[in-house]
Amino acid sequence: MINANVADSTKDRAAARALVKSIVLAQGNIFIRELLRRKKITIGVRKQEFETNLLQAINSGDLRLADVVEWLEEVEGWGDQHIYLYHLKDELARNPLWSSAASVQQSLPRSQQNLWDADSLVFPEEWSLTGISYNDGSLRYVWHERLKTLLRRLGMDRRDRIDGDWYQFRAYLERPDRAVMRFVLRPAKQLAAIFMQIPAEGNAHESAHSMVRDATKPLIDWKQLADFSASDVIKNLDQAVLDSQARTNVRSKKMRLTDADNYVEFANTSQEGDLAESEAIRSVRRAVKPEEFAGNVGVFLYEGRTPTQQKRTVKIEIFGEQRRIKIWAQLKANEVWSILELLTNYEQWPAKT
Amino acid sequence: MASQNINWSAFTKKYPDKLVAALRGHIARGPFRITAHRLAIEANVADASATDLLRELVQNGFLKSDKKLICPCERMESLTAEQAAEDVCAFCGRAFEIDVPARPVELIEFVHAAKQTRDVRWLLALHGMNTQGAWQETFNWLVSRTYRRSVPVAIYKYGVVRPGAIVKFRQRALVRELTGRIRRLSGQSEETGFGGTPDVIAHSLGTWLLGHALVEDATLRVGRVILLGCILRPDFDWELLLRRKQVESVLCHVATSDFWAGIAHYFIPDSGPSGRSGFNDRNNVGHVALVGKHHSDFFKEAEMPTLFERVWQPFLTQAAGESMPASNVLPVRSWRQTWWPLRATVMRWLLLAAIGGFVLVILLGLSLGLADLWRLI
Repeated sequence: MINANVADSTKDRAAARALVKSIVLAQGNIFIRELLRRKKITIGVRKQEFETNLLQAINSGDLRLADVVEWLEEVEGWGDQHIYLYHLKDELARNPLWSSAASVQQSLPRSQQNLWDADSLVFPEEWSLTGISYNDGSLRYVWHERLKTLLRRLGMDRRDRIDGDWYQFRAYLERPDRAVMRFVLRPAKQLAAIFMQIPAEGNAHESAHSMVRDATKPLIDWKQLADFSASDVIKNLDQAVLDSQARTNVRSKKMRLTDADNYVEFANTSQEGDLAESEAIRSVRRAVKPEEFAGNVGVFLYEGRTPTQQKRTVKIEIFGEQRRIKIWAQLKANEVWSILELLTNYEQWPAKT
Repeated sequence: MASQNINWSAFTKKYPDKLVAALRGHIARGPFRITAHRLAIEANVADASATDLLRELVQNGFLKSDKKLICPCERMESLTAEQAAEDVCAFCGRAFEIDVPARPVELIEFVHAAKQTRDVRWLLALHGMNTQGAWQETFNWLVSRTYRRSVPVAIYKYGVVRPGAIVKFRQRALVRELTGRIRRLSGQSEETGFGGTPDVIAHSLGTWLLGHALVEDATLRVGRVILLGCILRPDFDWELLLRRKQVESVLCHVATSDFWAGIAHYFIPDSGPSGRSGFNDRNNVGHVALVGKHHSDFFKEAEMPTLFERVWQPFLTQAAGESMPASNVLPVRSWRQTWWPLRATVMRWLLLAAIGGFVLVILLGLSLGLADLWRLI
């Protein structure tokens, strides 16, 4: 971790500028605007204007490396990701290990000691564990991998005749970026989660799981982590929305229930609408006994708030068979945890509201 | 914007019947968003007809149109005007007219921004004192046919209780039984996924028992309540029950020639003619009047299906917060109890004494008759 009191040296300014040109600009506009607003820097409308204003603020000393790092920890790698959620069994949750950061640090193997509270401004070529920390009652493991974000640049397109044939070249600007993976364990809440910014393709998630288990093995007995019952949450949350219990900030967009190799699906196709709007669909839905089905896929719209308190709809997708949650928009860490806690409330019926 | 405010007959002269019927159905069922093309497909008419009809309803203020800009790629993401003005889609990263074949496409959705209608989960039917409640079976059949999905109707029968209705200890026992039954049924319906609180349709003494059960047990809850031939006092405190969230809303269906509701106050303690003249509280209780009809006319074969379709069913399913039905034939009045000796104080004992005397005379007559008969033999 960077100490906020570190002198704003030339080296730090260079590091801050590098961060702005890479990771910072890769974050969502609403979050960049929040950083600019928080530091009382002129905001602008487009990414190019954000970049100019951020760089000017770094040069003038209004924005320091520590500010950027602190902000990145809140927003980078939160939301727009897949999440695997677990419940801690009592034995793990009550482990005296969690009594202090020092006891956690002492329990780390020697090979991981150098990662304790490490600065994670690196861009490793492959997924690498870049930091371990324990603060605010949360154990965190963070992995990073260099990414190249491709930005379409029309002006660089060209069409050439090569050996008598016409070829079209589409141009993309490569912007250095990085993907984040986290494992976070919160003993007091008896929750743990793996947060992955990795597409669910091939066996990518299985590999990532193995990486997390191997790295955390010295501290975590994975037998003490119980799986999140995603299938039940799909059914119970939809039922709660139908019964108007969760309608204040959640709407149901799609639900697929399976009975062995058969399924029934309820969905709303418009951008803003939800299932419960239609009396005819509700009537069919009410005829279904959820206990006879498994929740296969559920898509819910969560009513969040932007930093300026404007409404922001976030799509949450739950995959029952994989026990996986996908959040389709970038969020701040606390918003992601609010959503996860909401979901855990619906693992049982009636829900813990 | 209620569907009934739209002059549908005028539209049927201009547009295909199937199109008007399809849109009318959507509007009656609550909020929706639809494109003209989708409505045209549903009604199997030309897109232009659907567009014209929907636009006309927008002009009349019944619908709103919502213009969206959609990326022409397969993901069809909705773009803001700012995003649509860019050269590259903010979501798929592809260049308009180069990587995808067009600029963002304009899509118009027509929006009916009504409140969501309410679902009926299960119902409790309470009969009156004079009958075994044959109407409850007919009502059950009506409900089953209306919803098609399973809407259980719990039929509560407590038997014929003519003398019991005017004796307090018997009334208290009936109230306790009803409270217990509602609790048991609610628990069972909750367990089986139907939801915990029933909507109630009650007649005559059933209305009295329900009202008193709710007053006496502040934890007892029901959904929407339909009162027929009601014999609760017109100054019954529904506002208290609504405030305590024991009741969602109340509809009093009055029969203006209801004799029994009219005289209940003189024989049944703590009762009154609300089934004939309505409740004093016209703000919290909805009222509908069946003019010139009697205590049990609601259940006649010619009446009940129509009343269910036009009055009870709309009341049960209308969105929360919608205005309650209000009758314009019932005068608003501030009912007060009658003079003490005429209430169900002296009168009910006189009635009991009269009944007792009558029974005694019959018994004496029978016994004397039997004695004479014996002598003759």
